[in-house]
Amino acid sequence: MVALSRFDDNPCHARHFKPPPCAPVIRGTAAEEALETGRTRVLVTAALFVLLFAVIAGRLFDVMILGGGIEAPRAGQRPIPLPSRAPIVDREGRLVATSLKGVALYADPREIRHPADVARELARALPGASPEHFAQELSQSGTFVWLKRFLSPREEARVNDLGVPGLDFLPAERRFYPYGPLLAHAVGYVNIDDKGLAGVEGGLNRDLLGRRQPLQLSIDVRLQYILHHELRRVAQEFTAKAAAGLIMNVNTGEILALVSLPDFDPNHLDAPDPDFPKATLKDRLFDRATLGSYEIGSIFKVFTMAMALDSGTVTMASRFDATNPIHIGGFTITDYHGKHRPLSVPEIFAYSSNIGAAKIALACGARLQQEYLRRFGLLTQPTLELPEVGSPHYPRDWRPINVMTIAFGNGISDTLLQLARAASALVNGGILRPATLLKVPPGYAPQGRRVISEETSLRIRKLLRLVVEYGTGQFAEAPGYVVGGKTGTAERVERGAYARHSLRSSFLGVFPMEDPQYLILTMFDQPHGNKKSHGFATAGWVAAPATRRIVERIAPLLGVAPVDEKSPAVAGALAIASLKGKGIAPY
Amino acid sequence: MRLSAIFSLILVAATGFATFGVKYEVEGLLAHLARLESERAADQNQIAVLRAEWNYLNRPDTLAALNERYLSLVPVTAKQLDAQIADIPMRETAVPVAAAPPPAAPALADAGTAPEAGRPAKVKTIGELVASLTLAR
Repeated sequence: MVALSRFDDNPCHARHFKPPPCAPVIRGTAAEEALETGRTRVLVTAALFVLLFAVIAGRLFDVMILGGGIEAPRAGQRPIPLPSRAPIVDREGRLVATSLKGVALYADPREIRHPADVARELARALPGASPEHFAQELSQSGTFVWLKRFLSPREEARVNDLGVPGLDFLPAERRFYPYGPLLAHAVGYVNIDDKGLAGVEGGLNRDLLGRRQPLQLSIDVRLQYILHHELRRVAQEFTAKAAAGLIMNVNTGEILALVSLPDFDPNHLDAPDPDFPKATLKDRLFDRATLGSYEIGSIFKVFTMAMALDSGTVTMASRFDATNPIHIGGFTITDYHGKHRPLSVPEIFAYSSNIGAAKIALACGARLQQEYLRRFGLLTQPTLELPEVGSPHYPRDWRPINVMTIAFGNGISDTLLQLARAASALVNGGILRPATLLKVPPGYAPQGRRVISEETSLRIRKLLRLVVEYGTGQFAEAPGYVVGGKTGTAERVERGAYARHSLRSSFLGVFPMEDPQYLILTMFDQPHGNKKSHGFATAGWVAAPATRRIVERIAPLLGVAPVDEKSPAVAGALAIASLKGKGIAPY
Repeated sequence: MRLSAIFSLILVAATGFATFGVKYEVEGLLAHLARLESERAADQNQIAVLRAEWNYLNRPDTLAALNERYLSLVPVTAKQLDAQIADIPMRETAVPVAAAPPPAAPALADAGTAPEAGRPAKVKTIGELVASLTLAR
């Protein structure tokens, strides 16, 4: 208005009145040129502003309508954050290994003003670590040190409350094993970077990564506990140096329990085993059930019998003279408690006669023995979902002396896993199936191959039952559950020779014998006789009673109903015809 | 002409507002969803922790120690399992429920397995009755 009034003093003029130019326009003059320049400048400036507003409008459109390049949260497309390792559960769904989310604590030592004070406060906030440890870490020269790789939410809050600058957290995950040492060798453990190193964690490391569903094992925590508890108890009672055992379903090959002692706590590998304080970490990590191969002793006679009966070399009525020891190539084969008379095949087995077994094997010959042992999977490395699977050891030259000693389980070593798997095939009707630590769906029997006939399998069952009824395994009798089994006492090899009083006592137990379902194989390393066992440390005194207690406790859990073993249905099915209704003289 | 211009202007403004409205609503929902998802992840983590703790507290050796201290239960022996409940027969003639004493009837009716009044019982043995009761649960 003020500017306008300069040109037009009359307020009554119409608004659109165009004031006359202040100077007459004369073409071609300097004034006109100056005006032209002014116009061009206005135009350029206007164009610039238009461009600027266009950019702003464009950006507004972009921000408001198109989202402006800011990542909007998308439903369904974002993966739900998962633990990087799938949990592991037992056959009943109990959680045996799981990954927990938490935080890791790290520090930038340059930002820590008083390392000694901070270390002391940290040690108070995080129990289980010394102030010296933190002080040492905090005095390092770098810009990053780990202080603790996993903190529980509670610990995280405590460290936060310290309010120390220079300490910070990173998201972290830790593997946790709720059952501690109970499933040590079966489940295994992981290293600090969450890589599986042993057990199923190691063997199925790849499958566990990037898996949503929990991995279900064939192990049953309850059976595992009973086996673990009993092995520990008996190992203590007889001051054994080590022990191992497994429970297997003979019809599916599932391993229901797998124990090796001394063992370890996968949560704290360094914590010593309270019952075996002298055991080293290496000793505790060693899996005696699947990795260690041992001369198992007389349990091996069951394979000798299966070979001899299945090939037709001997019958149940055959007799062999066990009066005198066998002398061959500087060795003497004797019986532990010899009967010094001719023995029938069932007697040889029930009294565990080495002489008789050696003679039976000799009658079969080396080739047949090798063929059958190979068929039973005792000469090859088995498969299992663990990295710790041992190989058998056997002589390269299979001479007659080897034939004879192998007949009673000396001069050949196998893992407990192999022995349990082969023995399962002998009692389940003759089908050898791969052993597994993963649950087999109910009602499904994995593919197997026939290794002996059904008739031979039935004879083996009768022989195993005879051992517990009359023979060396009488302490394994669990009334009602019709246990069958075979003792095995081997002298341990020490400094290249058999040590007379350093034993390995084991027992193979199967129940119920009229319809075999479950197999229990236990082994005790260097047990020592005590007053209760009258100084004996042999399998019949150590491993057989342990098997009885295990059977009595697990049978109700497995739904095996007790039966009357004297009833005609049971006794008749397991009677040996050649004994003509009588038993044999008790061992 | 002028009317249509005004009309279309109003229309443009209206659709513009509507579009913005929907857009912001969607953004709000997405933010809500993201929050729910993160809450769910936290809950899942919490469940994992609790499951681990539950299994830790239910270790067989802990239970055995607690049992020793408070209950002194012992494992079942074969002798206790000698006779199965299924071995016990029911009475020869089925008893109509009407004749049964009244206090027992409501409990059975709750389980949903009591035969209707007047009709003979379908179950033959106690074992079968027990089995049907467990199934009904």
